[in-house]
Amino acid sequence: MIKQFFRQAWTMMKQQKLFTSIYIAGTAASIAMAMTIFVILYIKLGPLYPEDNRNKMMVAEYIFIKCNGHMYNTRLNEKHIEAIRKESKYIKASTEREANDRKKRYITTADGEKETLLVPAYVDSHFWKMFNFKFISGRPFSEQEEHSPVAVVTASLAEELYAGTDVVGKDIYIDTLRYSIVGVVENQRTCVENNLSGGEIFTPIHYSNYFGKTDIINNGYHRLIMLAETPEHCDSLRKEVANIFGRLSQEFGEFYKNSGETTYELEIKNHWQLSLNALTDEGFLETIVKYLYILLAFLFIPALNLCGLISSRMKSRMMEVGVRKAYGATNREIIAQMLWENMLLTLVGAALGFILSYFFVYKNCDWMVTLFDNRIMTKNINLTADVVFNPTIISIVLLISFVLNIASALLPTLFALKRNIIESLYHRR
Amino acid sequence: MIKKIFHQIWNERKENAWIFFELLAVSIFMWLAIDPLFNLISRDSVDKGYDSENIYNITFTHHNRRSPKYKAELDNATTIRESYKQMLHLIESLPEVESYAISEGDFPGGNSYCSWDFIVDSTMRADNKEIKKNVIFYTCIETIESDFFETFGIKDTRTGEILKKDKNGNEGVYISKSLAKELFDTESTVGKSIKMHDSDKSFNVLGVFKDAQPIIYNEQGKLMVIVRKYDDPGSIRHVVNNIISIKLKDGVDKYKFEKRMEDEIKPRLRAGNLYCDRILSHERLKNEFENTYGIKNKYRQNFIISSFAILCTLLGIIGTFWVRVVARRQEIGIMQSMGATRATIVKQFILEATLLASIAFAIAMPIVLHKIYAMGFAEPLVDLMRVKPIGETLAWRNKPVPHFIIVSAISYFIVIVASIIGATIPVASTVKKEPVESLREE
Repeated sequence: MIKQFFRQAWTMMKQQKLFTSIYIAGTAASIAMAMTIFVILYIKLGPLYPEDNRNKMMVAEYIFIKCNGHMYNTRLNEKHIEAIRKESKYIKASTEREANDRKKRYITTADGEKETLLVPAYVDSHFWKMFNFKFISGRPFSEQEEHSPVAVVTASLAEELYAGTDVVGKDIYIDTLRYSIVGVVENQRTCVENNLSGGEIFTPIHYSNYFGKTDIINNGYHRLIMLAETPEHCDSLRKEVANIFGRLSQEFGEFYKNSGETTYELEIKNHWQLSLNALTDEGFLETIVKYLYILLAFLFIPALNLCGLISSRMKSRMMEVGVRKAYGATNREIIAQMLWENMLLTLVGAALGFILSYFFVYKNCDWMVTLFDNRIMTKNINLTADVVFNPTIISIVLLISFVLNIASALLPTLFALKRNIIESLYHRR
Repeated sequence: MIKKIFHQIWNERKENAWIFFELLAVSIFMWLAIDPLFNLISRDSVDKGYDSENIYNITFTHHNRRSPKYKAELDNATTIRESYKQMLHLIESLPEVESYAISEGDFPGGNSYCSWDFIVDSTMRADNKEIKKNVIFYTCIETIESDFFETFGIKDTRTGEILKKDKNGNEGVYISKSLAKELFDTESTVGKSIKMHDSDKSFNVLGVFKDAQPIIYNEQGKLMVIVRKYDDPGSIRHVVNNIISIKLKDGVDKYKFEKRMEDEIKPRLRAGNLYCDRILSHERLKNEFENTYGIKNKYRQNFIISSFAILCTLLGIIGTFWVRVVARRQEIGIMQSMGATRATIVKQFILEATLLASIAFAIAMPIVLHKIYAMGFAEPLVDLMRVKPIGETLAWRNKPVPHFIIVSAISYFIVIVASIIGATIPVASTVKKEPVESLREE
């Protein structure tokens, strides 16, 4: 029977080329757009190299100071970070990363022959324990080397500047300061605005222009990335760090004390909150709802489109339905025929949609994957095909698409089947 | 004709229901996608009150103390002063440069601003009331050769000509027209004085200029320019914060100039521990701002949503009307044999699509109005930067009613054009057939 349905559907596709083209184009566009959104969300939230522990990761960075109705913000300084690390029981691992300086610097080979412009990452030695970087050659820099001019580079930067990854021991300049390369890591697969492991050249945090620059009002320039034992421990970790900071905030100097009542609040975010630019008091669902508006546009409008198309076509096929009913076909059989026809069209549309999404996301990844970010990163986009064509994403998109397409076909078919045989046959006149 | 088409739409209401709901959804999404785009484009095109064409901004930096190129013996006030002067002379001597200005960090067309509370003494006002106001200001440093107002084309409100800098090179402030009115109750403020809050420093008002846009993508606002005498940069920090803006002469090839600056001039803009960091045109600076604050992404997101909605509308209307035209081939054949021209038949179907889209759009508008009532118009910059927009003088098109009318008109136009194209394609291909063919097919 199914073979018969498919044969019928195939003949219909050949006969009604415009209808088939429109149906396939609509489905393909819808799937390509949905795929794009899901890939972007997966890049933001999924466990991607080297951030395999995103569900256990928390980030503390901004301090909000409310004083006389005014709001100021600053970042954690070295003293805060040291104290939090020392006192916390829930932090399994942590790393300190300079977060203020986003200025691009000239990265030049030792002979000055090749150079590129990018933002260096200033991190401490714990960074290499926090993220599961794969070293192609060399090693991470150690705690003892935190005061030495050493650097770890990504494979793409090594390739760009030295045309190869065998660069351990070679020198490299960041602006005018010379560093020695001690390790080369595989490129990250993450490339979103707030990715914590991002960067193409990593040097000890002591070499940041902002290290040790804590001033009279305790302004800081750093971000503390923490790992909880399990995802369930994240909330306990948040509360504990907030308490520790509550005590530390008393040390904020004289600057604000003279200005009246002052409150300090440290923003501690889960990884997903940071990735989706969510506020700390927003739940996951509330944040995802922001994206649903776009997803709805990409799925709902094409679904209505298909309903309209199928409804119009059903009207012209009423006689066929009437004849089939007259010869004993049940409503169930007619619905099955319509659904299989649409299934075939949806399959073809889905295949085209996946090809389109390849061009949307993979070929335009330098801007497409950062579409929802506030800052556009045009470098360090190392999207691999396994991320774009992730089986989980494909399954979710296919499932949504099939459900919507079946619903789009089912509703007009059910409406059409409400007519009796005589009405259906009469329709032709 | 219209009455007949209304009847037609009503008779096929069941088949029209789906395309109608699609047009309704498309109208709402289209409006919501056009609203932020309009906001951004409109803010970008407000009368800036200064000239940003042919402007390049030059920033400096210095060798890091840990750099091998750092020379401790050159890190003193005298050497820094000399180094800075040398570089200024080089810039002044460039044949392409018409004028230049030195600003302390913020400048017209930039992406940041500085504000402070200023006080006008009661004796300066007719109502004898002291007034305190937070004012956005730029600080420019004038040398004998530099001219802030000429470089940025800032005009005097009285003469309409470019403001002339003080002949005697005195320090003071220039204020915008509406700031003058607010602070002194009059535009004739030259010679009056204004004091900085929490400071003994007071300035004489030297001139009044047109209101200007304080930072890009904002409305016009009240603004002040503080003029300081050329203060020899005694510290590295000072020089690093200063920005030299140069205005090119008319007719200078920008591409060639940029290349010459990068290849020839930038390597020469080095003296002592100082060196030129970046030479950026106003356009590049704006581009960086758009990247940094997600404006470019906002354009892209809304452009993609609008394009997708248009594509769906096109496909939906083409599909629906194609099926409809095929079903009404006999009717078309009879109409043609009775003397109806192709144009008349196409017009009838186009009117049907237009009416359907118009009704859907009209029903979408109360839903949109409810959204505006509950959440206001889109404010992409507020969403992205989480700060209130600055600049108080709303351009006419950014006031609520014109804003709503313009966005609705644009959205309606797009939906209608898509509907007309969608209806024309299948109808035009069908009416090409001879009437006898259409009738025989039946």
